[in-house]
Amino acid sequence: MTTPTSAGGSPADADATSSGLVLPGADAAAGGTTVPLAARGSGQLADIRRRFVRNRLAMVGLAIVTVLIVLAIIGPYVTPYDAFEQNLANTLQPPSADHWFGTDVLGRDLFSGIVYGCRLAILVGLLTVAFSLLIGLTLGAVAGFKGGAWDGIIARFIDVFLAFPPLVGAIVIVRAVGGGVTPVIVALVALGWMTTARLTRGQVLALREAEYVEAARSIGADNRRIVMRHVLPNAIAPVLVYAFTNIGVVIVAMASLSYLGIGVPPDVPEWGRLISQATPFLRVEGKAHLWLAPALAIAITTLGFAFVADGMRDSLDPKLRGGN
Amino acid sequence: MRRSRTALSAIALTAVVGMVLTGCSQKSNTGTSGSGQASVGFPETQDLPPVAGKPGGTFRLGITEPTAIDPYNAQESEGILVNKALFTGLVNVKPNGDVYDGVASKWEPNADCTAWTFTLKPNQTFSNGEPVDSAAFKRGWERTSAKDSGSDVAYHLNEVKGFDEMQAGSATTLSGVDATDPASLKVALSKPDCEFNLRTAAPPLAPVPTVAGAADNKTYNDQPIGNGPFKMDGPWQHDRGIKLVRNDTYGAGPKANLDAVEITITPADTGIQAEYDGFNNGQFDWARVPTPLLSQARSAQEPKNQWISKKTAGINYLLVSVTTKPLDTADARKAISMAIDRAAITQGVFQGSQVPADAFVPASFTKVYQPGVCEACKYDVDEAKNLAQKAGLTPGTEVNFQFNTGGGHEEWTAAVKQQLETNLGLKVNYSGVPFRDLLVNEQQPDASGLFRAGWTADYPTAGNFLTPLLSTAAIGAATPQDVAVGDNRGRYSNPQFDDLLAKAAATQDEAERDDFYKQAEKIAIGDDLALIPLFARQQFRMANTATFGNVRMDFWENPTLSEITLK
Repeated sequence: MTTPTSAGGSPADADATSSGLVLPGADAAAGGTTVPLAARGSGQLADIRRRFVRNRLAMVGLAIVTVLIVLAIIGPYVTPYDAFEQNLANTLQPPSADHWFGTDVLGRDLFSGIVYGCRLAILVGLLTVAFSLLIGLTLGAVAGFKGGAWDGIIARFIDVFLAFPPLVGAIVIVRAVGGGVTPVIVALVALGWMTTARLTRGQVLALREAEYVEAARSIGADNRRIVMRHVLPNAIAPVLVYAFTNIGVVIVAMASLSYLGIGVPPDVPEWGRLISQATPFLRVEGKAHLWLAPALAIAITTLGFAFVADGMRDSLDPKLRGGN
Repeated sequence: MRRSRTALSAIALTAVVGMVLTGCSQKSNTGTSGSGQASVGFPETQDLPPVAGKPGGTFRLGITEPTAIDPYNAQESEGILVNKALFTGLVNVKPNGDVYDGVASKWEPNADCTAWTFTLKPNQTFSNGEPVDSAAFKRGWERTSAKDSGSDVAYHLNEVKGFDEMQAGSATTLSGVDATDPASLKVALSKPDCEFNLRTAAPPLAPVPTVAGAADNKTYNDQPIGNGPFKMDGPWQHDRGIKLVRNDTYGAGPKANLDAVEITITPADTGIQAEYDGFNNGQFDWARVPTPLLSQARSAQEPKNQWISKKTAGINYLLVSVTTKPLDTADARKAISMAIDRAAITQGVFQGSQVPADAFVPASFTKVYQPGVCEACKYDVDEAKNLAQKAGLTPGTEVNFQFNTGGGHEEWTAAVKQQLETNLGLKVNYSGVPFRDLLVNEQQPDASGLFRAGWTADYPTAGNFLTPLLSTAAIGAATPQDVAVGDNRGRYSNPQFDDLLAKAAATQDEAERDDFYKQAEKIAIGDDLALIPLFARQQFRMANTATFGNVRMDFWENPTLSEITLK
C-alpha cells in the first residue's frame, strides 16, 4: 500500500481513489470521527513539504508572498511617507535618496504608494479568492454530490456566468454597485467562482462513489457529514492550487479596473491607477519610474503567487513521487 | 529538514529586510507646496509675419471622428473645422474674435435689436452652382430648427421668432425669417439681442442648397455641398478620413490658396498622441500635443517657429449647486475657492501649461476681461477658514465633488480634493463617473456640492459665458423640483444679474454693452461666486511653418485653412 495523500491530482486517478484516499474514510467509518489532515500521515505531509522546499521557484515565490503579506500588514505604518500626502511643488521627481522610487504627478512618494498598493492588492486578492472558494466549493459540492436536477441547474448557472466576458462583466457590476474596494471584490467574486465550482464538482463526482464514501453511507452518515468530512477534504487540493494561482489573476484584474478608472477612487495609489496615471508619460524622457514601479510590483506579485501555486501542485501531485 | 530551515530563514530574513527598508517612521512630504504665487503658464506666441498667397499644396492634419459635418448638427471643434471650410455664413470671425463680412456685406439691427437685416453680397453660389440667396439661409435655418432634424445645436436659433413652434413640430417654417428679397435676409427675434449677428457665424446658421433636402439625407450628411472656400473631394470616409479641395467658385472672400486639405480620422482615445506622432514623422502639418509632452514639444518646436501657444475662449471651473446645502451661501463657495491653490496645481499637475483663473470671462476677451474680479480666486487659507466658519462649513462637513472619467481630470481633481480636506477639514465625497452620468447628476434638483465643468464660447462675446451658464432663464427647470435642462445647472438666480444681461442684450453701443457685462460678472462672480473659476483655457499646437505660411489658430482652435499658403 502506498502512503496516503490528501489529494490525488486528477480525481480519476486510480491510486488516489482506491488506495491513498481510502484510509481517512475508513477511519471515519470505523471510529465515527475524521482524523485531521495533519494527523493522517505526518510522513505524507513531510513528503509534500520536502518536495515544496526542494522546488527553488516555489521557495522564491513563497519569499515574495511572505514579504508582500508582511508589507500589506505593516507597510502603511512604516513607509517613509504617507502614501496619500501630495506635494505639488515636488511632482514627477526622479528616484533619489529622499524618494526611492521618485514622486508621482501629485508629488506623492511613489515607494509609499507602491507599498500601500500592496496592501490593497493582497487584501482584494485574498478576500476575492476566499469568497470565490466559499461559493465555488459549496455549489460544486452540491452539484457533484447531489447530481440530477441540482447538477443541471448549477451547471447551467455556471455556464451563464462563464458567458460574461470577465472584465466587461466586472465593469458593469462595479458601475452598478458603485466605486470602492468592496464593489471591486463583489464584482471579482461574482465572476470568479465558476472555475472553482467546476473543479469541485468534477472532484466530488469522482469521489462520491469511492469505497470510503460507501462505507460512511453504510453506517448511516448523512450527506452533509459525508461531504464535509469525507469528500471535500479529499477534493480540495487541486481547488486550492487553482485558488492560489488565481490570486495573481485577481490582482491583475483589479489593476485593470483601476487602470480603466473604475473601482477604487482615483486618488488612491492603487497599482493599476498608478500605471494609468503614468501612461501619458510613457514617451517622456526620464519618467520611466512612474510606470515601471507599479508594473514591476504587479508582475512580481503575480509571479510570486504563481510560483507558490506551481510548487503546491508539484508537491501534491502523486505522479511526481516516483521521481522523488 | 536542513533545507527547510534554510529556506524559512531566508524567508524571515527577506521579510525583516523588507521591514527595515521601509524604515520605522514617516517623514513629512511637505516641501514648498502652496506658494500662492500666480503661475504665468506657457507664454503666448506671436503670429509670424503674413506670407503672400499662392495656389498649391496639400495641408494634412488629424482629427477625431466628428459628430457631423452637415451644418444642421456640426458641433464640436472637429465638426466645425470641416464645416467652416465647406460653408461661409453671414459673418466671419477672426482668430481674435473680431467679426468681418461673410456672405453678408452689411448687417444692422432695428432700434431695440429685435429685428436684423442682412444685406447679401451679389452673385454668391454654392459649389454646385445654385445661388446663395436669402432663401438659402432660410432653408438652412429651418432645416436646423425642424423638430424631426433632432439637431443638438438648434439652440443657436432659439431667439428667432417661430423657433419654438418649429421645435414643437407645430410649424414648418420660421415665421421670423423673411427671405422675400433674395438679396436681403430679414430676421425678427423674440427678444432683443444686439449681438445676434455673432450667432450667424455658427455652423447651424449656414446656408444650404435645395439638394440638401431634409436633415436625414445621408448623401448630403456625408458629402455636403456648400459655399465655403473648400468643397468635398468624395464623401466622408467614416473613421478613416475626409478630403477637401479648393472651391474655385468661392465668392464671399479671397479664394483659398491650398489645393487640398487631407484630414485623417484618428482614434478617439489616442487622437492627440496620434496627431503628435504624425507631426513628428512628417504625416501631419498641424497637431495637438499630449499635456505631458508639452515641455518637450515646446523645446523642440519653438526655436523653429513651429510652436503656437494661445489663450482661447474657454475656461475650466467648478459648477456649484447653489440652492442646496452646504454650498448655498456665497461665503461657503468663497471658502471653497480660497482653499484651492490654483497656482500649485497649474505648476505641479499641468506643468505650467494652464493659467490660474482670476475671472470667469477669459482674458482672450480683451475688452471685457476684468483681472481679479474673482477676488475669492486668491489662495488664502486663513480667509478660507474664516469664511468657512461663518458659513457653517465646519471640519467634517461632507461636500460632494464629482468629475467625469476618461478626460484627464483625475489628477487635478484629486489635488483639489486634498486641498479642501487639508485646508478646511472637509470630508470630500469624491467620485469619477462617465461624462453622461455627470451631466445627468448635476441636473437633478437635489444635486449638491461641486462638479467639474468646462466651457468654450460658441460666439465671440462675454454674453456667451454669462447668459447660458448663469442667467435664470438658462436653468431650464419649470419648478425647483424639476430637472435643469439648461446649461445653468448650478441654478444660480439673481434678478439684478439678469437685468444687467437684458440691458447688455438690448444695447447697441459696444462699450456700453461691455460695461453691463462687466457689472454682471462682478455680481455673479465677484460677489456671489455662483461658480468657481479654476483655469483659463490655453491651447498649444505644432504647425509646419517651414512649408506653409499664414498658419494660425482660429477662434475655434483650428488652423486657418482659408488663409494658409505654400511658402
